[in-house]
Parts: sequence; structure tokens; C-alpha cells
Amino acid sequence: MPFQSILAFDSYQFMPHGHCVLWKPEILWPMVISEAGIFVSYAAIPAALIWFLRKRSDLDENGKLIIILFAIFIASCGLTHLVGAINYWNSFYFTEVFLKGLTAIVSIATAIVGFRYVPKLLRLPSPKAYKKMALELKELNTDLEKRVEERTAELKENQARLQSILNGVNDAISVYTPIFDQNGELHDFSVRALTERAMHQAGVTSMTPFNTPSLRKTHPTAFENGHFDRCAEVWKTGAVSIEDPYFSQVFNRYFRIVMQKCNEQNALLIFFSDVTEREQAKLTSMAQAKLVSLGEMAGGIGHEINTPLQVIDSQLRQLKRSLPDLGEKEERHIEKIETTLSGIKLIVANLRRLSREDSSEIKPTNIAETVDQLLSIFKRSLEEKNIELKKNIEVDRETKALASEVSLVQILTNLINNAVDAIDEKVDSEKAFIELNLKSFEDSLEIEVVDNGGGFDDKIKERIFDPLFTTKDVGKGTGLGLSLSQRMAMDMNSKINCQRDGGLTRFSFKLPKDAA
Amino acid sequence: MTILFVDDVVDILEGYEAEVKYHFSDFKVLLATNGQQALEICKKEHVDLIFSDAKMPVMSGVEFFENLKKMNHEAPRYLITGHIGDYSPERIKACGASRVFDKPINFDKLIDFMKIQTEFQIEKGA
Repeated sequence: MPFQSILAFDSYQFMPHGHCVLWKPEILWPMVISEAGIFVSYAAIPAALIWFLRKRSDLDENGKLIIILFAIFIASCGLTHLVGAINYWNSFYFTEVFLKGLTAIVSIATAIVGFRYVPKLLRLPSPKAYKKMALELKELNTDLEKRVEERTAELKENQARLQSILNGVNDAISVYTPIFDQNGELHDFSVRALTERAMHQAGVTSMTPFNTPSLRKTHPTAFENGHFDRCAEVWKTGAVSIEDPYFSQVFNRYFRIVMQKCNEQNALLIFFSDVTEREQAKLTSMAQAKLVSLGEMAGGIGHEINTPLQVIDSQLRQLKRSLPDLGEKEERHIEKIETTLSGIKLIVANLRRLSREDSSEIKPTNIAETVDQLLSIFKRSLEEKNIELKKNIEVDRETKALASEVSLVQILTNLINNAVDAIDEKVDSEKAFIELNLKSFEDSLEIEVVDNGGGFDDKIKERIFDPLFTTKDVGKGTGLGLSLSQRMAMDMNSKINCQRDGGLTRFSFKLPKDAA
Repeated sequence: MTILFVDDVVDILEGYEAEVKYHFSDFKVLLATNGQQALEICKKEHVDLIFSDAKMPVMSGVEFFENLKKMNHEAPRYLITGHIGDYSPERIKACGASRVFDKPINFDKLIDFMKIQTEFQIEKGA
């Protein structure tokens, strides 16, 4: 046997173990085979342990130690069994002693370390506990997932709600992000709009005029009219600022602007509400109130003038009676005074009629007479401006139309004044005139004011009846006259039409004839 | 015939007086500058016809007429005024003003009116 040479230092004067069992094969071979089997398995087990060890490099020092010790212990124990089997035919007892001794030492060490390690091992959760923990973890996970799902759904819902609110809001909401210059001073804003609806209502078709990386470049007027200064103030102080009303020339509308600082976004939030209708209503009612108070004042003035008028009248009569032999020249002077006095009486009578409550009612009115009286008021001033006054009244004095006298006079006054202003802008040298036509139709009367003044562009024809729209220079016209006149015409079931006819401008409206 | 004119503006009264004196030389003209004065005159003297302004200090024309009504004063009375808006039509009717003339009055029409009144009164046997 090859072992013999390796283990040759053993004395071979001892008896091999086979002798102990008297070489009885039924005892010998089971022993030897068992020992060999043990050796093989005691070689395999450490191999498995080492394999395990190499794979689980995360074990702590003690664990590693135990496994190594255990592996060595089993390996050396296996070797003892091998030598035991060999020594059935040989007597390598020194080798056997050596190996057994080694095994004893290692096994004692393993036992010691093992005992020390048992408590720790006991603390490791049992498979049942592991299962329980894994189950709990799974439950927690599922629970967490569900909560996340719920939160996400909530968030989505909130976002959708916010978006629909923003979309429904009439306000425009913009975010102004400050831009600082080299010195760290606030000197510009970039503008981004959050909502579009108000923009569209104001007639802005694309977002670009509103959104801009530089307010200074796109809306320089904001730096002239104080808008930027207000924004800067809000940025500095954090106070809320309300600017109401603010007129935007770019959009030709009035806005209410609320500015506040949004610290989270490090920007300003600007809310624009379109208050144009409110302002128009305000202006209209102010204009109407003015007209009403003017009417009242006119009435009051009329009353006051009546007494002096009567005095002049009676003095004139007495004068005439006391000067029987008047020359032609003196007669003419007195006649002139008398006619002028009549003129004043007429004006005052008209003022009084207009100021009376019932004259704003719609009732059968003698249009021809009203027109005549009105023209008598304008006659003088038109003469002074060198404007010819023409009139074509094709309606007899008996015909009445349903109208409010006050409104009629106001509309005609407005139209005639506009005609006068248009003539002011006239450029050609043709003689200026204003023509008043009264035509009769089957069921209605048509009143028309014609002038050959400067006229207006066909393009703006649609807008001339809009409140606030005016072609006159700033300060000359409020833009309210025609819109008020149109309103008054509509109250009388009528509508003012305008037309350009060659070099002429025609404004006309119809009134229904009184059926009676 | 005695006619009473009431108005707080003296020039107006002068005007009435001049017209009546010129057209009816035999008429007597009495003048008052407020309703109170006029009322005193009416209590003391016989008056056939009264023309009064409405708005006057101390006592207005309407109040004056109301007092005349209380007295059962018979003379026809008329208001000549520029300030009719201050009084309701009902009150004006109730105070016995048969008619309201607007200022500035048409003197020719006033004279004609007075002529008719005179004839009427003569017929009545006043």
C-alpha cells in the first residue's frame, strides 16, 4: 500500500486492528466500509461548510469562526476514521494518535465557541417567526401601496379641480418673476400667464403679447404709468396692492389689478379682472346723472330768467307807447329788441319743457315742432361757425310720433354737435352744411342729420356706437355721446344708423307714428 | 272794476299797472308784494279780479288763495308764475285758481282776457 511509505515512521511491530476481530470478515468489512463511508462524508461536510462560508461572507466573526472550526473538526475527525480503517491492516498508531489528538483539541475548541454562540443563535428568529415577519412586511407594503394610490388620486383630483377653476375664472393670473441687474436692483420682470380665458375675452388671440421674458421690452408703458413701480413696491414690502381701475391702452379695457407676493414661488402673483363693463356703466350713469342735473338746472335757470324777461317785455311796451313818433331807424331798433326777446322766450320755454318730469315719457309727440324749436337754438352758433343749416321737413304739423321729447332733443343735439365737430376737421374748401331731414313713411317718421364734414373710416363704423370709443382727440370727447344716444333710441324702439355717402355723413333713426 | 296784482318783484307790478292803466283807464289797480299784504287788502277793500305770483316771501300765492277760499272770497283768481313745479296740480286746483298763466306773460293775451272778464262781470251785474 502506498500509505506505507508515507507513514513509514510508524513501527510495524504492533498488531494491525484486524487481529482484534480475528479477521472475521462479517465484523471486519462492515467496520472498514463504515469507517470509509464516514471519512467520505466527513470530507464532504466541511466542503459544504466552506462553500457556504464563501457564499455568505456577510456572517459576523464569531459565525465564521464556528463554521471554520466545525469544518476543521469534522475534517480531522474524518481523517481519524480513515486512519482507523487503514489500521485494520496496518499499525500506524502514532498517526492515529496524532490525528485523534488533533481532533480532540479542535472539537473542544468548537464546543467552547459553540456554547458561547448558542445564545446568539437562539436569538435568530425561527422560520415561523421569519414567516410571520415576511407576512407582516408584505401587509405593510400592500397597505403603503394603497395609501400611495389614494394620495395620488387625491392629488390628481385636486390638480384637475384647480385647473378647472383657473379655466373658469374670468381673471387673468400672471406670474411675474423678478429680474435683477448687476447691482442686485430689481429692474424688470418676466411674465408668464397662468390662465388664458380673460385674455381671450379681451381679444388677445395668442399668449405671446402677454407672456414675455421682459416686461420692459414688451410693455414699456408699464414703466411710464407706474405699474412697474407698484410691482416693485409689492416685491419689497410684501404688502398686497390693489389698482382699480387701471386702463390698458394695449387692450383698450379697464382692469382691476391685485398684486401679491408669492414667497414659495419667489415671484409676484398678479390678478387681472376685466372691469370694463363696470367702468362703462359707471361712466354712463355719471353722464346720465350729469344730464339729469343739467336738465334740472336748466329748468331752474329757465324759471329765474322768466321774471326779468317779463320786465323787459313790459318796459318795451311802455317805451313804445311813450314814443309815438319814432323814426325808421328807431323802429328797427325796437323791432330788433322785440324779436330777440321772443327768441330768448322760446329758448327758455324749451329748457323748461325739457326739465319737466313728464317730458321723458314716451308719448305722441309733435316731431316737426320739436325739431324746429331745437334748430332755433342752434341757429345762432351755426351761423357763427359759418355752417349752413338746411332743413327738409316733409311731415305736416299734425302728425305725431311716439317718442320721449327729452330723448329726442338729446339725440338730435348729440348728432348735430358731432356734425359740427366733424366739420371742424373738414379739409376741403366746400361750404360746410348740416342738413336736417324729416321724412314720412307709412308707419314711421325718419329723422336724418347729414353733414359734409370730415367723416369717419368705414373700418370703425361698427365701433362708433361703443361706449368709450371716440375718434376725437384726448380730452375732446368722452366717447359716450353716441352710445347714450343709441341707448335712448333703443328705449324708444328705434335704432340710430349711420352711413357714409360720398362726401356726406348721414345719421338717421325712425320713430313709429302715433296710430291715433 | 278793481284788480289786485300780487308779485314780490316791484318791476313786474309796475308793468301790470302800466298795461291796465293804458287799456282800462277807469279800472282801479291794487298792488301787493306778498300774500299776507294781499290778504289784508282783500279783507279791507272790494276786489273784482286777482292775479298773483306763486312763489313769494311771507305768504305764497297758493296759500293766499287758500285763505281766500276759507273766507269764501268770490273774486275770480289766477296765478301768473314761473315756479309752478313747487305745487301739486291738486293743491292748485283746490285753492281756487281757475287758471295758471306762465311767465313771461303775453300781455296782449292778458288784456284780452281781462276784457272778457269785465264783460262777464258786467253781465253778471257786478
